[in-house]
Amino acid sequence: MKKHLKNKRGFTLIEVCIGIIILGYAMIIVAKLFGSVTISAKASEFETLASNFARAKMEDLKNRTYDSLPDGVWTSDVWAVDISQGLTKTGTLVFNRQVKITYMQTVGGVLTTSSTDQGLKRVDVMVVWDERGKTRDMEFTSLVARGL
Amino acid sequence: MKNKLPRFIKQNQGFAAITLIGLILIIFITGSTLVILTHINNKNAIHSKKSSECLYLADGGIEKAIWEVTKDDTYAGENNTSLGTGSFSISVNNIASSRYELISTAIMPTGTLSVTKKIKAVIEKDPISRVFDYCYFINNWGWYWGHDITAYGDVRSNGRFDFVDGPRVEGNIYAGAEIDDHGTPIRGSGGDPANQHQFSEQLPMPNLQSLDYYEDKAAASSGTVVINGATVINEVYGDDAGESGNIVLVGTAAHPIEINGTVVVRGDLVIKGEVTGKGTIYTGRNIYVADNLEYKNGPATPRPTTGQTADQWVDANKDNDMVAYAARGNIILGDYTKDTHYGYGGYDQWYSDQYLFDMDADPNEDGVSERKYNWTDVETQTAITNFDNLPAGVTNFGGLASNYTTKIEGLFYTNHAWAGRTGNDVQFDGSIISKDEAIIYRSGLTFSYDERANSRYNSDPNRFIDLGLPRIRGVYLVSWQEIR
Repeated sequence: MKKHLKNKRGFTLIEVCIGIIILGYAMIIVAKLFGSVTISAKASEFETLASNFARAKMEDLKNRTYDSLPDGVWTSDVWAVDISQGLTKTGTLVFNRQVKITYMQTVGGVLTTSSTDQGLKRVDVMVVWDERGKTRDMEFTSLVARGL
Repeated sequence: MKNKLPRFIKQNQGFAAITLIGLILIIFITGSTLVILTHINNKNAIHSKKSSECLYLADGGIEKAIWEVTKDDTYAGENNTSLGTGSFSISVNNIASSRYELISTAIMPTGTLSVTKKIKAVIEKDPISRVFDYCYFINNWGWYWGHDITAYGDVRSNGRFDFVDGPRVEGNIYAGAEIDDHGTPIRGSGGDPANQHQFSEQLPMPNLQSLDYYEDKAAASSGTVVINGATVINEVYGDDAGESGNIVLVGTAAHPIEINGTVVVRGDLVIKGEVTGKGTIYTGRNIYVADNLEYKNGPATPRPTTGQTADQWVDANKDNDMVAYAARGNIILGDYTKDTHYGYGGYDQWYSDQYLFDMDADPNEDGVSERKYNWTDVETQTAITNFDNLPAGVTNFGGLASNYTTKIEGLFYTNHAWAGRTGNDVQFDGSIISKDEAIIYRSGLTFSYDERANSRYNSDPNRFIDLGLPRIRGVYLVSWQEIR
C-alpha cells in the first residue's frame, strides 16, 4: 500500500468497482440489521406494555379485600394500543388480559388447589398478544391470604 | 503563499481505499452499537418483567406465611414451595409477643436469566385496635354538638363528623366521610384545615361476639378484682356456682377497686368510685357507670403539660393506674331510671328514640342486634337486687346511680351505644369508643386522651402497657420492604 501511494498513481476502475461492491454489501448488512434491531426494540416495547398491563391488574387485586376476590373463573379484558407507526402496520395491537382466582390449601405441606375457601387464594394475571403472527404471553402469579 | 493541503493530496495520490475502510468502520461501529443497545434494551425489558413476576411471587410467599401464622403460632417457615413458574422460601422469626418477622425469598429460573427477590415483612397477629389512639372514636356518625365541648387529643369517626356551635378540638380530626362545621369554625388546632382529614380510612372495630379469647387471657394472666382485700372477681365472673354473672363494684378512697390484669364478667357490670391497678374488664352485656369513676393513683395531669412531650408524660405516668372497660353490649352512664329527658317527651327517649340509631339487624356481626335500641337494651338484664356484691341497703338502681357525674377516668370500648347523662363540666380522661354516642351533658364536656394507650407504643418495650385491650382478629401489617 505504501508503495502504491508513493507511486502517484490513481485507482483503476476495477479497484473502485470492488470498493463500491464491498460498500454495497456492508450497506445491505446494516439495512438488514436495522430491520431486525427495530423488530427487537418493538418487541421489548410490547413486552414492557404487556408487563405494565398485567402489573396494573395485579396491584388492583392485591389492594382489594380478600372476600372481594371472586373465585374460580377466568375474567378478561382487552387493551388496544395504537401502533400505526410500528411494524405490523395494522394500526393497533391488542393485549388480552385474563385473571383467575383459585382457592388454595396445603396438603402434606404441598401447596395445592382447593374446592373450598381455606382462607388462601391464588391470583393469576395473564396477558396474551399477537406479535407478527406469533402469540406471546406473560403471567404473574401471587397469593392473597385472609386476615390482612 | 504556503500550501497547507495534506501531503497525499499534493502528491496526487488516491485515497479511495482509506475512505472505504473508514466508511465500513463507521458502518460497523454504528451497527454494532445499535445491536448492543437493542440487546441491552431487550434484556432490561425481560429482566423488568421477570423482576415483577418474582416480586409478586415473593409477596405471595409473605401472604402464605401470614395465612400459616394465623392458623398456627408455631409455623417456622418453608423451603422451595412451587408457585407458577418459580418458587419461594419463607423464614419466620417471632420477634415479640404476637409479632413476627417474615422473610420471603422467591426465585424465577429462566434460562440464563435467574431472578431472585426478597421481601421482609413484620406482622402483628390479632393486633390491638388503633381505635384506642383517640379520645373520642365513633364507628358511625361523630357529633360534637355544642360550644362547650372540648377535646384534648385526636378525634375520629368512621362516618361523617359534624361540629355544631364551634366546639374546641386540640388535635387532629379524622372522618370516614365529610367533616362539617355547619358554618361555625371549630376552635383549637382542630379548626385548622391541615388537621382535618376527611374521607380517611375506616378503622376496624374489635369484635367481642365471643369472649372466649379474653376468658383465656384472664385465666392466663390470673386476672382479679379485689376490694378491701377480698377477691370479688377471679378471672371470669359467672363461670362458678353461686355467681350470677352480674356484679356491682363500688370503690372508695379507703377501699378502691383493685384491677389486676384481664377479667371477664359474663353479664352486666355496675361500677363506680375509685379504681386502682392495671387491666381490662370485659362484660358479656352492659357496663353501667353509675357515678364518678376515678383512678386512685392516676396520672398527675390528664395531658402533657406545657413543654412536656407525650413520651415524657408517658414516662412519668407509666406506673400509675390505667384501666379499660370493654362491653359486648352498651355502656350506660348515670341513673337511667330517673327522668333524664332533655327537652323531649319521656325519660327513655334520649337514650333510644332520639339519639341512638336504627341499624340493620347485626351489621358488625357480633351477635348483638342493632335494630333501633329500645329500653330493654338500656335496662339491666335483671333487677339490681339480683346483682352480686350489692351494697347493703340498696333496693333499686337509683340507690346506686347519679345523673351528676363529673369525672370519668379510663378507656371505654363498645361497638354499640355509649349513652348517659352527666353533671356539670364533666371530664372524661381516657377514651370513649363506641358505635353510637348519646352523652347528654350539662354546661361543659371535656375529653382528654390518655397518651399511654397509643398504639405507637405497642412495639416500645419501655412504654408499652399491656392492659389486654380488645384486639382485631387477623393480622396487621406493621412493615413491608424489599431487601437484598
